[in-house]
Amino acid sequence: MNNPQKPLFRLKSPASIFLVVALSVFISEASVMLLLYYLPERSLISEAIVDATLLVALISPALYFFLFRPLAIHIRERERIEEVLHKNEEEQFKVMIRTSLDAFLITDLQGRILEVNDAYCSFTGYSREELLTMNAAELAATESADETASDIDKLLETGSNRFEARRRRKDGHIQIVEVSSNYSNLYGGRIYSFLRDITDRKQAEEHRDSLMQEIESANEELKNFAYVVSHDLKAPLRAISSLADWISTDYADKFDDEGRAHMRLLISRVHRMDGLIDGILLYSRVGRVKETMVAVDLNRLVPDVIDSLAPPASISVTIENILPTLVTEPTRIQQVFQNLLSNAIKYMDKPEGEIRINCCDLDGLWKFSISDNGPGIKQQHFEKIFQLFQTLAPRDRVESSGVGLALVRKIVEMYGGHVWVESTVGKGSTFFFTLPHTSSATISSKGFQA
Amino acid sequence: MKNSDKPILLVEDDQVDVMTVKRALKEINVTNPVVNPENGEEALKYLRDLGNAKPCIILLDLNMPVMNGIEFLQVVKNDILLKRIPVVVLTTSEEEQDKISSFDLGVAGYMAKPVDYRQFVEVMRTFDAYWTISEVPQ
Repeated sequence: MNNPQKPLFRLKSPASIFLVVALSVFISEASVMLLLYYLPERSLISEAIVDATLLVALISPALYFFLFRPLAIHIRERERIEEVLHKNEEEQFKVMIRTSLDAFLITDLQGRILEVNDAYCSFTGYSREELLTMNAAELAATESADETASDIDKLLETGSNRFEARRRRKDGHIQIVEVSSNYSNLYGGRIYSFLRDITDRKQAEEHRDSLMQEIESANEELKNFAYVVSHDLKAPLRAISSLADWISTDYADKFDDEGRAHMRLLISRVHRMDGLIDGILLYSRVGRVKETMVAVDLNRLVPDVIDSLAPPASISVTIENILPTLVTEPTRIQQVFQNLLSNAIKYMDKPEGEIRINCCDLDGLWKFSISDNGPGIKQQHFEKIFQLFQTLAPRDRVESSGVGLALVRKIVEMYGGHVWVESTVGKGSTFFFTLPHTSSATISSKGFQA
Repeated sequence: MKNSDKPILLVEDDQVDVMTVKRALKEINVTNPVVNPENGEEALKYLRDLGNAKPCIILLDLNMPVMNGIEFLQVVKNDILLKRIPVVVLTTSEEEQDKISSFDLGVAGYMAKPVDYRQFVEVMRTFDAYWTISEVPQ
């Protein structure tokens, strides 16, 4: 007996046929999707698939229908979408370049202009059509060919470059531009550059520099002026002094009391003028003549200053707390203490004079104070006393050049500090001054005025 | 002064300063004659004239017309016949640079002129005392 062969599938009913077809379609779609997923974009394989589709259709209609045709359709669709996207991107890029306030241009490695934006056209004064026939070198104003070449070399070496250059507009005007360039090796080498007009900024900078120079030279002149003038004033003064001395010696017997008194006054005025000139010299020397900065222990310096002033026994000078050590010019800090203390001693009007020196640490600053129980100063004079040649007592009563406090202020401010006074008339005055802890760092060669 | 017969060469343009030096020297009994060229150029002319007596010392002002003190020193100190004459600067300038230039050019001293005549006499007294003791090449 023939064993009836048992077929694997028996397509008996339309339902089973439909099932088989549906299954095949599902499997083929799934494999297409999987293939597409792993297929790189715009790969040779996808092109090969599309190319092979017709051939496959001839050989195996089933393979064509179930695999290649849907695959080809999908690939084409994907390419179409990519193209649209790409076009959009390009469009977006073009709009960006067009919108840019900065001028933009593309050149090849020979400098031939390939593309420009509107900003570049208005920037150079040429039309787009004119520019596209030109070479970027034609627009360069002063750079030599060498300079341009070295800029291009650097660009090729590093891929990008930023530099300043001078460009000539169509109307002949010279512009200073800041250029930012990038090199790309697409299409045999392209240079993409953005340019920005910085002529105004440059001119402002130059103007500022020249002003600064003027100020500096005026300042320098002023410094020297004080020195030279006081120098030249001394020579005739010395002559007057000598002649007055000789007249009063040689003709002593011919003078009466009044004559002698006048000669005495004449000589004393000569000495006063000498003192004033010395004051100007002293004042102009601060900042003009530099001393080496050294660590100065005020616990030694201040007692030395007090000793040198030799205060009378009726005046007591006390240092109330331990003083700091400053890195400073010793002569200058000595002048500050010497002037403030000598004023306190000179103007003392009480039978028992008290002068107290104090120092406290005030948040990055040393705050010094020198208090006295002398006559005090009216508030309206608080500012005036720090000005050059200002004195409150007539010079005939208290011999004073009017330089001391001006000198103190100049020195203290040179070191970045402040000086001021608090006072009650009849009870005494306190002079304060501050010095930064790091006073040495604030001193630069140009950090102060003469 | 060691040699009271040799002249003192006072290179000075200010007439009163010349009078001051002469008077002060007289006051301290220095009898050397004082020769007074008004600037460096005239001083050189005097020094190079073989008929003139060689000075025992040169008192030199720095600020002078035509040829100033520093220029004068530059010439004198490069002249084999003149460079051993002691030069003392007598000036108003207390400028550090002037002192440096002067000593670089081999001056024997640098004195600032005091405004006060009495003080000036004292300066000259010390000057005379020193140059009486100090030996100088003949």
